Amino acid sequence: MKKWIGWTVLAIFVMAIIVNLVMVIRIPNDIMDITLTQRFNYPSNQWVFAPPATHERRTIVRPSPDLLYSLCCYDISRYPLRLTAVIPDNYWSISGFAMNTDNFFAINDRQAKSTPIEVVLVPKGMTYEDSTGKAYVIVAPTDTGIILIRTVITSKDDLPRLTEIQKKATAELVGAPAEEEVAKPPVAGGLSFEAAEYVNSEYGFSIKYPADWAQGQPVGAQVFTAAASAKVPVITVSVREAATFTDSFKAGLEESGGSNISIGPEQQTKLADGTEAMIAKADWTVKAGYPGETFALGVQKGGKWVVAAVTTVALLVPYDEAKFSEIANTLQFK
Amino acid sequence: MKKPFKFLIAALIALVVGSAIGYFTIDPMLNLITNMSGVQNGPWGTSLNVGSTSANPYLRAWVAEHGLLALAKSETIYLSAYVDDNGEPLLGNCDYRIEGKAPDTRWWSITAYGEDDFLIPNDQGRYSWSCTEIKLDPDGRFKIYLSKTPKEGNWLPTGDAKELSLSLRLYNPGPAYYDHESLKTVDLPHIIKEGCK
Repeated sequence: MKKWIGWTVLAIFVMAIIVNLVMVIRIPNDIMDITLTQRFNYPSNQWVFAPPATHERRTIVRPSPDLLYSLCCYDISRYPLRLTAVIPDNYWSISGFAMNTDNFFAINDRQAKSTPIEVVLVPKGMTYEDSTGKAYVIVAPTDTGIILIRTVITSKDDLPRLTEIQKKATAELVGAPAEEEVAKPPVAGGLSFEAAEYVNSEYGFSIKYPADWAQGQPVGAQVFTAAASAKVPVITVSVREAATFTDSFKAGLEESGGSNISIGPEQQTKLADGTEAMIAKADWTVKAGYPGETFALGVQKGGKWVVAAVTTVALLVPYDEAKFSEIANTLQFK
Repeated sequence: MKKPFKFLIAALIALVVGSAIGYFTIDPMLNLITNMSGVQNGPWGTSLNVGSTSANPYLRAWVAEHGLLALAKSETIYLSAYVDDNGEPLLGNCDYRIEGKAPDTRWWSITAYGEDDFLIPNDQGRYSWSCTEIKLDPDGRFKIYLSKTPKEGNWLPTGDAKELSLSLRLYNPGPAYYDHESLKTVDLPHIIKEGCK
């Protein structure tokens, strides 16, 4: 009997070690996977220019509020990725993170050979000949991962200038056919929801939304609206003349009776067809007095802003930026 | 009891109990192994293996959970403090004075976080102090006041956070911060409790 107990305790011990180690080894990859596909959910091989971190931005733990982050979720499974960025005159770095979270390269402003800096990310086993001799050719340990640019914000007054420099970064797949240079966001079958489509022939765009949302009656500058059965989330698409995306976004919220509107900084992005677009998040009070949260994407066409905004009231349905972004990113122009 | 039946029962117990122990000891093991491979200097702790390709699986997992996308030591040293100079946890209902001389580094900042590891909401929009904006004393030293209520000088508001932690980021630090042994004794800011409510 004692022998059996001894063997059982040993087996428990071995089992505990195996389970513990296997799960620990999986944690970094799982977290990176979740970060790429759920937290960020950005199209691959494009820069996303994040505004300075605040308490409202809860994508990455322990963010630095003193840095501007530019982020590129890379996928070099088929082609190398060429990245360029203009380097400002204070602390700046570009770094790469593999799927196991390893920081496999980092170059700072003092180490950079030139500005704009050129970095070519190459998958294992693929060769790349740098004809210019200026590029840093870096073999990435995994085909997917994250490239991050950090820029120190020396002062709030300097933020507009640094943001302008930040947005000069480029990303392109080397040797990919033109239509593959801009990765497709998850549309047409790749959506996480069963979709219905609204087509606007007057302004030449279409947008997809969850098929179980019911269309409503647009008001003011809205051309389309649809909502879930709980009234939220609700999507509205509006077209109006405005100087900036934020102005147009704010006007839409005001038009719906909103107040206490606080719109976060604009970020630049691209639609599936390469159309330049802006995104932002707003916290506001909806007409009924509840706190509302809205994700919006806007495209400027012929002096007007086409803004797709997805709103929820967190008391009823939690804010889901990944899903709201996915919906808004289905906006397509003919 | 017959032998095959005994074996089956023992295997089942090992499977269930072993898996449960393995699962529920993940976090304690992460903290234990990370602390063992880390460097402690007063209230500040770090691991010089953060972000490095030589990091062990436990350290990698800990970094993924607590400092995703952290840079390797060649670029940045991240020091964290969850306790004050007396080893007592940093609490939102207490006032602290963080004081010291500016670290020997190209750029540095001290940031406060709540118990969820995110920035602490506050009306001032002040989450950190960095070397580019902090007000220094005439002798070149600095003081940061970590407090819920307003303070003169470099006030770092703690809002409604119950538990606090700090990050000291050193970008392109001097050589003393690279070395495991010298990092234990290099002069880092002190965290002094001034009182609690």
